[in-house]
Amino acid sequence: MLKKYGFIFTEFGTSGREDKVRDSIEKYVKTKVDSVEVDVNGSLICFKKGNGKNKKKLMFAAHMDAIGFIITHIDKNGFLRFSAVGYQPSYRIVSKQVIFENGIRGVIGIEKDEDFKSIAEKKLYIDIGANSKEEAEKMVEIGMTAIMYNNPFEQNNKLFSSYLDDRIGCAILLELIDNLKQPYHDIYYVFTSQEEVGVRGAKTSSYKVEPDVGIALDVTVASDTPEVEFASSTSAGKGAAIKVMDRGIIVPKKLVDHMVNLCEKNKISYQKEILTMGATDAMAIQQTKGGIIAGTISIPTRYVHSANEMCDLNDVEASVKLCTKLAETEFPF
Amino acid sequence: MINRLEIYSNINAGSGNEENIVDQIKKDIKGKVKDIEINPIGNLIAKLPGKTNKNILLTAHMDEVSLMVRDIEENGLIKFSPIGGFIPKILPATEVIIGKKKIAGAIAIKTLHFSSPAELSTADEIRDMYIDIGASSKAEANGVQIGDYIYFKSKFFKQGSYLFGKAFDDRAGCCAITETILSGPYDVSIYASYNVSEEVGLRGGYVCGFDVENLLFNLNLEGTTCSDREVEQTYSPSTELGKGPAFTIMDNSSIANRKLLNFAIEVAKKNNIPYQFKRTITGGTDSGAIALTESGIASISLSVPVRYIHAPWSIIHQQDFENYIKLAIAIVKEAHNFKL
Repeated sequence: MLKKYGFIFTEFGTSGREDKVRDSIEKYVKTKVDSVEVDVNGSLICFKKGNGKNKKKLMFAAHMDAIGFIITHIDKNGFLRFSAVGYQPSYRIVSKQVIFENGIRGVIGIEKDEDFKSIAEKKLYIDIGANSKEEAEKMVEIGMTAIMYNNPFEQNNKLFSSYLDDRIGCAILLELIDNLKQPYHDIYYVFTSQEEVGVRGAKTSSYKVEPDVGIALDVTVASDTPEVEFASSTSAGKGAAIKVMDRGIIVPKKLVDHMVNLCEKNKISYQKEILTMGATDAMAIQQTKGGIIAGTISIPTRYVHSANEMCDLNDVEASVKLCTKLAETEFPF
Repeated sequence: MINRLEIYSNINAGSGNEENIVDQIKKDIKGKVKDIEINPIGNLIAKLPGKTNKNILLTAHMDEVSLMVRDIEENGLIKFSPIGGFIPKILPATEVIIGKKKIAGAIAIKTLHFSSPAELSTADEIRDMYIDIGASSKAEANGVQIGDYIYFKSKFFKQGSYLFGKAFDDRAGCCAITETILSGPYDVSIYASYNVSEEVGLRGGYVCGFDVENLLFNLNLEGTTCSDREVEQTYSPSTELGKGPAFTIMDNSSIANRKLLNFAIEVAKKNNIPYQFKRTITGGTDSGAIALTESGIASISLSVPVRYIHAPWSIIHQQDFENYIKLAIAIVKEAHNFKL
């Protein structure tokens, strides 16, 4: 995965500031699809014509934005106060390294040590090594955004990265673009923006595409770690997770059944997913115009929304296979 | 300009009850615009044709935070619910006006002498408050109906460079649109939407951006939070009075379209108009709803900083207000040059 699509796990891109990762994706895909377009809110819409007799418009969506930070204040000593962009529990980010969109790096400091859960965002700051406000202002500015900074790596067929959510979905889309030379359906690969702040990019891009069926590729919370509090029905390594329900969507049964059948028939490992929190782009797609059939294929991921997310590459492979079958098979509805 | 803010802010118009401000705005712009319509949700839409058929959307919301009569008790006291967001503890001892008959009343809580030490050290919830209109029974309170709107009685005044009053959020924005229209026409055509029901969830905003052809962008004109008297120095103040109108980079409803934001900042620099950024991400505006309309509309919010927003009394700086309108007009003048 890293050998082929490493750039996806290192490019900068936080909600509303997806320019860099989008440019890299666009460069990679533009000769491999029939058309490429960037919409008003920053989603990248790539089209590949299908040749099926009863083809439909099938949209695959994965979001480019990672959760991050935005500078709200620079104090007189050059420390940066910030707000989270997206859901970012404060206790998880203390002492982590971050990188700004212009390459400036910093670490997150805390005023005083406090109990884990009582750490408030306003007690934290980013230290970029500036000695004064003036020095800091030469390096960054108010409104500039940052994301976690870590090197991705693979080990024992697991992938570790700060941005699995949802660059792993983007990587799956890239793999599909590389593999699917003549799909049955008309395929819209949509790399969406602003998912982490309220599934915004998918709302307007699906309005533009107006697909018959929309499938989001995103991470889900793997509930398979020691003494874990139940969050979802999935485990890393047990296959592509076919979403049944989360806080944003109940996937139509006919779409769940269709995906399950494709897995059974083609011996693709899968698990059904019920998630007790969160939502994906599928929610926005489902509620577009007069309503669109939408679902999600999830990659069970450990430590979602932290500096070190981890998934099993077997699940990624299974998801690619399932998407491939979706793209090549007539819908029974 | 200040005069208009006085007129607009003194008008009582809560979410869903915008008729009075609608009438005033109509009166102010009808000689200038091509047509005025009220859409089904209540937004006042006015079109000012320009030299080209390129449109820009100008938005502000007409509604202010207010209260509503929920019940009239047997003893003649009025119970109420908020329409929009309040800190409950700012309400007691405020003078209010109720309903079409403009019945006066005072928001009351239990008197000092009858309150336990525990009660004195905690803030009352809205359900513990009532409005006393001087009626001794439900029958005597018959001038008040369930569902009547309740407004703060605050009246606009100026002191030094500061403007005191209510409803600057967002009558300031309504003024800005009106002044912009009256200073027109421009190269671009203006599609102005004075929206309803923003304070209860951007409701007018969700339906104001459909079917506008050749739309370049939306400029949303707002009143925003200001915390220059409330925040310790080491933390970020939201905005500060006297430092110019504020651009929002990000809030709970939106992330500003970057190209549009940069474009507007350049206009401010070119015209030597001071500006600041809103430096907290709390709150949301119609801009968020508009950005997600159809396949997306490039949108930004420009706001006048309002100290003590969502309260019976707010304060803004005269120069901020004047620069705010100056900047809105400057952006519209240049709008035809904007490219996504």
